[in-house]
This record gives sequence, C-alpha cells and structure tokens, in this order.
Amino acid sequence: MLFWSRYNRIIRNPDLGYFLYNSLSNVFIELDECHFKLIEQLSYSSSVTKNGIEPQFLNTLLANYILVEKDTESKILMERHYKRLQSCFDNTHLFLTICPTLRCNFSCPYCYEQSQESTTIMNKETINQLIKFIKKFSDTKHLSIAWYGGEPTLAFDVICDITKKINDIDIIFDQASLITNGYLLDKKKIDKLKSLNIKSIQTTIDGFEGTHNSRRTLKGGFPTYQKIIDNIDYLMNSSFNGSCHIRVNVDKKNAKEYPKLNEYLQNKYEGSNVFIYAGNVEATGNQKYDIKYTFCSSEWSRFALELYRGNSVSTDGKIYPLGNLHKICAANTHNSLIIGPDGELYKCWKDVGNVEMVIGNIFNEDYLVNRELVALYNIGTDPYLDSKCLECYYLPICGGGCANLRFRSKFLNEKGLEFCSLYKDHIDEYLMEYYDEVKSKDLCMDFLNINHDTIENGYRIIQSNIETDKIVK
Amino acid sequence: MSQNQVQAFINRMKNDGQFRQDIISCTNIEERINRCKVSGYNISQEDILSLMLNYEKKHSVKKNLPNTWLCKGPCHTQCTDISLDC
Repeated sequence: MLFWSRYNRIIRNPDLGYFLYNSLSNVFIELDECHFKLIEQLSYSSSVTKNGIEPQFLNTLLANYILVEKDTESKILMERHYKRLQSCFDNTHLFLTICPTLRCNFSCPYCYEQSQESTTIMNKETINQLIKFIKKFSDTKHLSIAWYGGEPTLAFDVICDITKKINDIDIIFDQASLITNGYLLDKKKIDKLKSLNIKSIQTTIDGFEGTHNSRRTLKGGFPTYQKIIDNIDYLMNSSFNGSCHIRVNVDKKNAKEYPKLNEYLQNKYEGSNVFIYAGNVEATGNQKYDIKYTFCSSEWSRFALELYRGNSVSTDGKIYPLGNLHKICAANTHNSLIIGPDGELYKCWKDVGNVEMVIGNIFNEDYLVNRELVALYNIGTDPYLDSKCLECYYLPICGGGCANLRFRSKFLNEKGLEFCSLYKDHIDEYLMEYYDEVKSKDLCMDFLNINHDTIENGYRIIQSNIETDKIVK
Repeated sequence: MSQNQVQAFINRMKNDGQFRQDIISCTNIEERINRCKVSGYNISQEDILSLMLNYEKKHSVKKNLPNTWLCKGPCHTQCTDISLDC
C-alpha cells in the first residue's frame, strides 16, 4: 500500500503554474493542470492505489518519495541520521582551528569575541605541547587547520613555527585556511602562504571605502579599507593559487550598498579565485553595537531573495535548497577542536575567549575536562534527537541549523535565538523565484533553438537530487 | 547590449505572450534578432547565449544563500550537500 508523503508540498501559483515539491528527496516538479488535479486527489487519499496513474508518472512519484510505503520515510531519516553520526565521529580526519593569539588590531563594533584585549601569544611550550597533542590522534591520517584568532597575522611567526613542526609529523597535512581581517596580510606573509600549505583565505570588506572605514577600523579608529584591498590585489597576483573568500558583514546599515560592492569586487577580481558573499551580523549584546541594525530571519530572507533577483551572476550562492543537508561543523564533530593561545580547547568558534565554554586543555593527559559540554554540543544539538525537528517538514533541507544557537537556546535558555532554516517560512517564495529563472533560461534556449525539457508530457522534473534509476524498486 | 537590457527583453518574453509568440514563431535565429530590432531590442545571439550561460553558472554555484544566515565559519562558503546514494 502506498501513502502520500508528509514531505510533499503542492503549489498553485496564478502566474507561474502548478508544482509539487518534496523536501525529503528535494525534487521539484512542474505539472500541467491534469496532473495537478491527479496530485491533489492523491493528497486527499488516506492510502493510494497505483490504478489510474500512468506508469512513467507513477515511477517518478515513487522514485522521488512522493508516494511512499509505510515506514519508508522514517527509515530514510534513520539512514541519514546514521550517516550524520558517521561524519560526526569520523576519526580519520583531525580538524583544528588554532588561535595563535586572541588579540586583535581591529575594533569592529559587532564583534562577538570577548578577549581582544588579551595580549597572549601562543608560546614555545604551548606550541611543543600542541605537536604532542596532535601526535596523540594515532588513528588520524589527515589534518586540516584553520588559523583563527583574534587576528592570526599578529602572531604569524607562531603559524610558521607550528606548520614547520607539523611537517615533521607522520600525518597528511591536507591544507590550512586563514581567517584574517587582511590588514597585516602583506607581501612578506603572502609569499609564505604556499609553504604554509594555506589554500584558502577568508577576509572581510564591509562596504565601499567610506562604509568599510566607518565599521572596520584599527583600534584608535584608523581606516583599513585601502590597505586590505591592496593586500588582496597582491595576493591574487602572487604565486598563491588558493581561494580568497571576501565576507561582507551585512546589516541594515550597509545592505543597500552590498549588491554594488559585490558587482565591483567581482569585476575587479574577475577570472581569479575570489568569492564574495554576504554574511549576516549577529546580535551579540556587544555594547558598541545597536542590535536594531541586525536582520531577523524574515528580513534576511527578503534580502537574500532581492539579492538573488538583482544579480545575474552571483557568487553568494543559489537559493534552491540543498537536499539531505547534514549541517555539521566543529561544534558537533568529535575530531574538531578549537585551540586557544594557552592551549585551552573549545567546541565552537563563537566560544573562543569565553572561559565558561572551555572543554579542556592540550596540557591535560586526558585533554577533555568538560565532557558534559562536549556531549551537549555533540549529542544535545543533534536535530534527529529532537522530537520537534524530527517531525518538521524542513529537517531534510535544514539539517538542524547552527549548533551554537541550538545549544544556547536549549541549554542556556537564551530567548529569541532563530536557528531554524530560512526555508521554513519562505519555501514557496524561494521555489517560485528559482522556477522563474528556469523559465528565463528556457526562453533563452527557445530563442537559440536549443532543446530543453518541457511540460509536454504533463509534467517535468525541474530539479532533482536523486538518480532515479538507482532507487526505483 | 547590457545584461540588464537583455534581461528586460527576456522578462517581456515571459510576461507578454503575444510578444513571445511573435519572436519564437520566426523560422530562425537571424529572423528573431531582426524582429527584436523592430521591437526596440538591439540584441545579438551572443547576448542571449551569455545570459543563458550566466543562469547555468548561477545554478551551478555550490553555495546556498539562505543557509549563510546561520553560519560564521569558512565552511559556510560551501554548505555540504551529501547526495543520496541509496
């Protein structure tokens, strides 16, 4: 016996037509009126018989979990949970985020870190202990490092020293990334990036010169825009062959400027491995920053849609949901740790410098001290163990959201934290926007006499995550 | 022609059925381009091709804009899409 999947969603749009979306398979189907009526009938039925459904269409409905057997969905979710846990507890890779210092030369008003006044720089003893600590992971074959801070370039010698020592360890050092404000990333440092195995740089520009310099200043208020741009210019013209991700922290103050900045930077770095993207400024309770300027989820959703509409080519990303999203990060991955300059350990980037969130120290024989905190992050934020999430239509395309926000909401009882997927309240808008572009592309193809799928047979799959032939039973 | 003008042309094709029919019913691309010129759109085949490729490029980006809402770290530049392999 077959059943109408609870992950189905029928959309009737007066301008664009009839559609069916399933969040479990992440398939999006366009229907003609006849097939739409059939689908509507199926949705009303408590159980479905195959009679009266043409074989090819039936095959599509089965393959994409539109029609399912009893328990199919729960088994799929269980399998996904298993895969998620496999990834979370994989011990073949070690992912370390290392803060050689928590000191920062900037004074960004919205910063969520609490220890920028700290002057500690990782010392020789801690560096040596860090190497011993890495050696303890004897089952681990691969190592990846993110250099973070504070501002890691303030302790560049530490980065060089640690890298040199790691190269002498019997471990495959896959790659490193560097999260920097870019101000001190000068020629001398850039020329060393290759030898440091740094393949990805993340830096931040918050707007054109005036806007950026009103937000991201040096301590003392000095401007930083031109120097950062000069450094990126040199970086992308150097022998560095990695990628550079320019984050733009967007809030209500600079949102209008972002599309033009994006276009400007894209043109400036066209053909090179530079990716520009908008990230939202999170309300942190920092007294230097008025939280009225931050976006709430629905405002960000609108911003994302407008951004997508406005840019014919965008490196910000697409808006069609990512299917089977696991959404794991350092916080819920066992072999991912954040290491502070004194060797203290954290589970989340946002916790750096917060003594209450320290989970252990590399100097301890058993490095984990606060196992409860680790368990709360690893297991307590698992959406598959949350009855509300497990019941949620959006779980397959949400993956549970930010572990830190879930943790703070669930275990620290912080109010007003929004960690659900933006798709939750806006899925129809996103799907219709996506379809509108597919339609535009179709018209281009029609104009150029290029064949494309049509709705001639009554329906067409616009987007699918599944190789159909593999799952038809 | 600028990309915005080409986009405006495609938008009219989308929203004006009669206009779309007039253009698409032309027997070949050259005739379509001439018909566009008569309607005030100085469009080339390359313009349309370029717009089409831009859509493809946009749809092939591995990142997801709505998901950046929640992320801070560098991994948000490439949200994990773990394909089904069952």
